[in-house]
Amino acid sequence: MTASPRLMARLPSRLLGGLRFVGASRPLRGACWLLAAYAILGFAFEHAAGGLLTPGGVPRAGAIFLGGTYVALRVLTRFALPALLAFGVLERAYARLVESRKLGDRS
Amino acid sequence: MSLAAARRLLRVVALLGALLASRLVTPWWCGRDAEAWWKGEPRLALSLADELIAFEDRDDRARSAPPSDRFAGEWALVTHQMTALGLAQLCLAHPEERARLAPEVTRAAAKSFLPEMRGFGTRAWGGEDALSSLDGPHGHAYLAYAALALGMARSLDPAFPAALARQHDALVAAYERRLLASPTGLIETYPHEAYPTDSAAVAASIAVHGRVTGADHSRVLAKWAELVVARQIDPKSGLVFQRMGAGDGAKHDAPRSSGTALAAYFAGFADRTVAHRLAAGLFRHESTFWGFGAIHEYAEGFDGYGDVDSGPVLLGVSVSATGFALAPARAFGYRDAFERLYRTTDLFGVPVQAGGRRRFSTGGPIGNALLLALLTSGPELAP
Repeated sequence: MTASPRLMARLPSRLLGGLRFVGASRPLRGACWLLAAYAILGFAFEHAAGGLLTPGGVPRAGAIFLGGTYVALRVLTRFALPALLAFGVLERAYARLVESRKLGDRS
Repeated sequence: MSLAAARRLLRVVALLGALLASRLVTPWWCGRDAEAWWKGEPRLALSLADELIAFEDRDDRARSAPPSDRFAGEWALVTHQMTALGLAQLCLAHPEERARLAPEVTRAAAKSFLPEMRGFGTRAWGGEDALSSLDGPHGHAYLAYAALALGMARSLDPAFPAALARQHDALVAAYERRLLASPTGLIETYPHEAYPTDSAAVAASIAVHGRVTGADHSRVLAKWAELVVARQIDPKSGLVFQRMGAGDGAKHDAPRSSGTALAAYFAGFADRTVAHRLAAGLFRHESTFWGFGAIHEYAEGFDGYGDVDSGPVLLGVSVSATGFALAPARAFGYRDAFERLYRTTDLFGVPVQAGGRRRFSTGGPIGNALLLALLTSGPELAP
């Protein structure tokens, strides 16, 4: 996660802390990308498709690709997103704990 | 503890936490509406009903040519029929909606009865139309789907057209005569092909007709119920054979869940005991994973690819059987199974709420119509 120093300076400190927390963790960054792709593709599918099949049961060529991709991403997101978030948060929380203990040892 | 060991421990703990989060959050995420559907909360069902009413409006405006291939005709018939059944079940569950929805039930049911909707059956019988051959021996069981929808419309709509009621009476009388003459409780859908599911729809249409008109159909329904158990259910699996010979009861296909699940729904209109028995057999074939449920298509010892009845069969489970099973699960109190099956339906069906209407995005109109009927099943059960 990179952003200009000026933009970073304008962000509230809590949000900044949250972004740093997420940015420092590969699983959390992955979760963000996954969520973004899920939301964008979901929006496209829900607004473009009238179902994967016509009322008569004939596959809609355009919708099949978009719909198939979205459904696959939906399955992945719904199973992987909670796992990535939990993994990332636990990993980062542990890293912070270790960091604070090291600082405590030094002082 | 060394740094390397601490890191390994961290990885294991984080991995376990990730698995736990997925196991808890994913079923919750996909099953948020399950309880509302189970309880019959009107906000969901009515918004799906509004989507189907809008579809019927569009269909009225756009329909100009009859469907030209066999399955397109079947799909259209089933779409209108299931729309009618779903809306009728809503009227029964929420009587305050009856004045608004009953005419919609009639509209959808009447469309399922149009000649162009049954053109696929007429062609299969070499040009013999079901309504022009009511005195004949051929079953034409596919039209029972429309007859059932008409019966439900007739039971709810005081303005149901009299001419349509006369046709309905004549069709049900023909079905009753054919079913009484059948030694297997089956009548043919197509030449030399009988489906227990379609015969369950025939029995359902006869039962609903009896409730509407007061006609006594108890003899034929008792005979059908007895023969379903004796001839159509595979004793080992509890599933019905998908396709059979109407005259000799020969098995033309395996015991399968897609046919059993839909037969259980239809049987509920006619005979609760038969429907309950089919549901019990069906839920023995549920597979569960991570809080999700799906129904195995084939009984143990049988295998096959998907077809028009089952939809795609992936890892042995069938899309249709999984969806159809929602109805007997709700109607007969299999609450946990209903929740698991609904999660799967939500995951792959992609429900969307927009403009005050709800739809399942992947299924199109037939998916919406089926899910309205299946997710609201219960009020239609025989007394």
